[in-house]
Amino acid sequence: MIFEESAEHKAYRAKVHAWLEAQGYPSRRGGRRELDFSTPGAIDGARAWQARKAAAGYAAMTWPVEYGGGGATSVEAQIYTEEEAGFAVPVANVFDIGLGMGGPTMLAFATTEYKARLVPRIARGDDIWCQLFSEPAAGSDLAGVRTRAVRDEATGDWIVNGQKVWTSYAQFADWGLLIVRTDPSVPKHKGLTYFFVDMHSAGIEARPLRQLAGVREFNEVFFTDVRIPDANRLGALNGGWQVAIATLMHERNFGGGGMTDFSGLFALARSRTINGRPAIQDGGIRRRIADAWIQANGLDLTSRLARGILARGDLPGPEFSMGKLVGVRNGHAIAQLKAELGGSAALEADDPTVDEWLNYPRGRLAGGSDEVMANILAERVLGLPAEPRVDKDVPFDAIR
Amino acid sequence: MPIGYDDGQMALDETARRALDAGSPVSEMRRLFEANEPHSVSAWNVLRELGVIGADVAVADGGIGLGTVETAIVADSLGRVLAATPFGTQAVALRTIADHGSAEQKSAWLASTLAGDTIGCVALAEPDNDLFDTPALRVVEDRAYGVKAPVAGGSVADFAIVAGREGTGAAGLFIASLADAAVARAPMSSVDPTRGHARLVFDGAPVQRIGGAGALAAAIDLQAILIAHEAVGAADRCLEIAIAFARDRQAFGRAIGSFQAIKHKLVDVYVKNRIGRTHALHAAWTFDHDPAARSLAAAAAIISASEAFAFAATEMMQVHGALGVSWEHDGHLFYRRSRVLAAELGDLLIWKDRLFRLVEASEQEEAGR
Repeated sequence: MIFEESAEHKAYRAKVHAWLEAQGYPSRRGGRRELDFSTPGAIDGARAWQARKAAAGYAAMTWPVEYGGGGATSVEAQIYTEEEAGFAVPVANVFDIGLGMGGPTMLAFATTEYKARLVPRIARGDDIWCQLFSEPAAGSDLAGVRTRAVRDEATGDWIVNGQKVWTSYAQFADWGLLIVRTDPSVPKHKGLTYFFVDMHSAGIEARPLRQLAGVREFNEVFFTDVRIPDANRLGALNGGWQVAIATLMHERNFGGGGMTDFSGLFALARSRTINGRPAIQDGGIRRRIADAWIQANGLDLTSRLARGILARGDLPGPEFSMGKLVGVRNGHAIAQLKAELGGSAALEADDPTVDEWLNYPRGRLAGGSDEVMANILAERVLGLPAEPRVDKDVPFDAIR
Repeated sequence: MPIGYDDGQMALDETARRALDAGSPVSEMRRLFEANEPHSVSAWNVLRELGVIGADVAVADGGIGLGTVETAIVADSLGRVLAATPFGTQAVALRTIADHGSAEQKSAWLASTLAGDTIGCVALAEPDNDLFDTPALRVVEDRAYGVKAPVAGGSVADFAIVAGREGTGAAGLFIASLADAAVARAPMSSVDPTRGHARLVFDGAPVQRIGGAGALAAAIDLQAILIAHEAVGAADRCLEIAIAFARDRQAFGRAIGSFQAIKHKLVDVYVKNRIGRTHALHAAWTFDHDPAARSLAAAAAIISASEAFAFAATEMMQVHGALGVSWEHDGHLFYRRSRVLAAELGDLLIWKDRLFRLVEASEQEEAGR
């Protein structure tokens, strides 16, 4: 049965666990927690940990060994992720774009030479990547990007002008995944081209934007006559939409990363009172904790199911992309409950529950808004009719 | 939309669905509902012909030797067509006798029950007692005194597995023939009369002890797991009906399923259904393979599946507009069944508190490590 882990995978889990234990970090509960890059030393610490993992074959685990990966199966990678979540190791979110999207996209579309040059650097944490997709006028409707690339006929290079926005980690990035318009005279999906761009190029300026919790993680990125060699193109000229779709597929994950830690919630419910009685004896509080546990554990079981499906050699279907919808909603519900249990004390800006609560609205938008995710599920999984797309067959320069 | 079955389970799921769609469609449940009859003979005959009664009972005991997951698959298929049959409660009775009964009890009850000639039910819930694991029914010198209600299948069953206690001793399970003159059986009126709910009054009826607190706990969990599977089967059917209508029905020049208001509503149904189904499948698996996780998994299953079904039925009706609230449309049959499944074995308020206590206990155990 699918919830059962095979003897081989149990042995692999034990091996990984032993390796992690030997690295000297304390164990912890409650799933992967990333360091905020603004903590002093966070990026260097995370980079050192990434390099140590790469040397042992535990970085970028499903990538081929010759490109710095672990050459492991998806199931082994998921097992590692789950086990790593049990230790307070220094992981930082700044490497997520390279590991999650940059590497896989380069492996699928780049030349052998560029793969050999850049992909192992991602696996080791040498380089930070960012994803230059969204623009002020194109987010959910990504194919509407207006940043232009025009070919310099003398050199064959591309000259890029325009603006990207909500670009996480662009201020630290060495490389960026970029989608631009190369032909505005054809319908919007058909005039896009995809590049990887050296973020240290002349004419690129990243200006950090402050998010609601105060952190400056994302940026607006301005391109002024930025020169990109044609050798940095991924996919065909005007065939960038297909590459972008492939990148976004990597954004979909099958869960994993461990079960939500409820100890903080229990501690809060024990420490305060409602009408003179501990909140933990209050029926309403008990039911909200029960509801949250059911959602969190349901997601955890869903990732066990996905792993079981991978283990028998099948690919989990698009139904597993519901993880983001459920996870963020439930995380938000838990953060809200913690804030309520914190009472008026939790109004103080340095209360630990405040940041958690402040950050959840961001999760509903990051990596595709909840509404776009729901449209994808409705159309691809439920088979409901597509959204009306009145601009689909209209040349881009004839729209509006 | 089952995910996670192996090839044999997939085949069983398909076979059971096809046979029930043919032999016991929702129109059969409607016929019984309108005639106020509790039990579909044609559904029961489909189950007998499929040979799935006792799917999870060991071959040595005369069963098929499969597992709880396989019995749950049948319950799921029955839920899809709102079958009016006591399969689930019969399955708990059978499994209880097979796992906990003496050799004499097995030889007295198993063969004819496995054949479907005798119908058993399990009587756990009591009126005015919100804790079904601490029954008030007393057993004195092998005679039972007390009331069980509502008992699903109680109006058609030949015998019952009854939760009760002897003296000041621990709670346990007892087997009782319902033909005895000291059992008064009264069919209950119900928003869904096709569950065969009855009130059973025991006034000195002869019983035999079959197991203790462990057997009672297992019966509660298995009953919850099978109710959860009926619920997720029905919930997925509601979603399928709503999707078919939303793809077909035109308004403002478009299929209504292309509007985000409908799309997002149905995605919410889908997501709840998947969480419920995942918990239900996991709970069925724990029953045979992970007893330490069983009670918590069963609680999560009955809560999430019952809530998913109630939501799916409600939104399926809403997508249909006024048609969905007409007597002729099947919407209210699903809606009625969703209420009954969420209340016949303790309601969700009770189950959520039970789940909370189990999570709290495991939390304290973790923290103590």
